[in-house]
Amino acid sequence: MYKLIGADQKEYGPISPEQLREWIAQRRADAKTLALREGETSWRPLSSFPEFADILAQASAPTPPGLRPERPPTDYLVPAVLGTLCCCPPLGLVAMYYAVQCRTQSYYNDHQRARESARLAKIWFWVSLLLGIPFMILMTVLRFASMADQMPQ
Amino acid sequence: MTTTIQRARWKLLALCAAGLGAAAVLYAFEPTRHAFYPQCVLHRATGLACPGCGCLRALHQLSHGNVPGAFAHNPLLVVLLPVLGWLAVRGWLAEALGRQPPHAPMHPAWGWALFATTVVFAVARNLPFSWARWLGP
Repeated sequence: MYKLIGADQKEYGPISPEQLREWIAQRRADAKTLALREGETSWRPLSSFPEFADILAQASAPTPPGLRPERPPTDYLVPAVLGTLCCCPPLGLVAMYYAVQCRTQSYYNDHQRARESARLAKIWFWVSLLLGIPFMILMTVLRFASMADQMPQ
Repeated sequence: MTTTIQRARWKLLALCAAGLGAAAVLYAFEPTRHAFYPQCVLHRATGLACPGCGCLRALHQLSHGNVPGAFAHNPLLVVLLPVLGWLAVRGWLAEALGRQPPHAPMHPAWGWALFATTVVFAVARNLPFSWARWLGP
C-alpha cells in the first residue's frame, strides 16, 4: 500500500499498487509526486520506486501523432484578402471564400473537409497572384513605353 | 537542417522587411504622381472599381498620418488594416515562437462577415448613386 502527496499538498491513500498505477496512467500522479511505501518512514518521489518505472515512462511519453488533437490547417485567409485587395479581385474572392469555409470547418472539427478547403484556398490564391502580378508588370511596362513615345525628341 | 520554427522566424523577418520597404516607398512616392506603381487588372479591363482600388493611395495618405484622406480613397482598407494586421501578426508570432496558432477561438461568423462585407463593398462602390461615391476610390 502507498500514500501520496497530491499537487494540492494533501495526503492521499493508502492505496494499492494497482490503484497507483492507474493514477499514473491517468496522469493524476507523475515521477515527481512524493509517495510513502507502507512500512517505510521517508517520502520519496515516485521516480525512485523501480516497481513504477515502466508505467511512469509510458505516461510521460509524448502522445502518438494519431492521438494528438489535430492542428487546424493553414487556411490562407490573410493572403486571400491581400490577393483580393491587390492582385486579382474576382479570383481573390474565391480564395477568400474557401479560406473562410476552412475556418468554419476547423471550428466544427471537420478536419478532413477543412484540409480540402485549405487546399482550394491555396490554389485560388496562387492563381490570382500568378494572373494578377504579370498583368500588373505588363501594364506598368506599357505605360512607361507610351511615356517614352510621347517624350520630345 | 532548418526546423519549422526557424523557417517561421525567417518568414516573419522577411515579412517585416518587405512591409517596412513597401511603407517607405509608399511614404516617399505619391501613387497619383508616379507611374511605376502597379495597375489593377480589373480596372484596366472593365473600368470597374474592385474592393482594392485606391489601396495604394490610401496607404500613402495613412503613412502621412492623414486618416480621413485615406478613408476617402478606400474606407474598407482603413477599417480592415488594424483588424487583419493584428490577426496576421498574431498568427505569424505564434508560428515563430513555436506555439499553436490561435485560430480556434475565432467564431466562423466573423469570417463570413468579412467575406460578405468585401462582396457588398465591391458591388456598392460601383453603383451609380451619389451616396455610393464616398465608397469609391
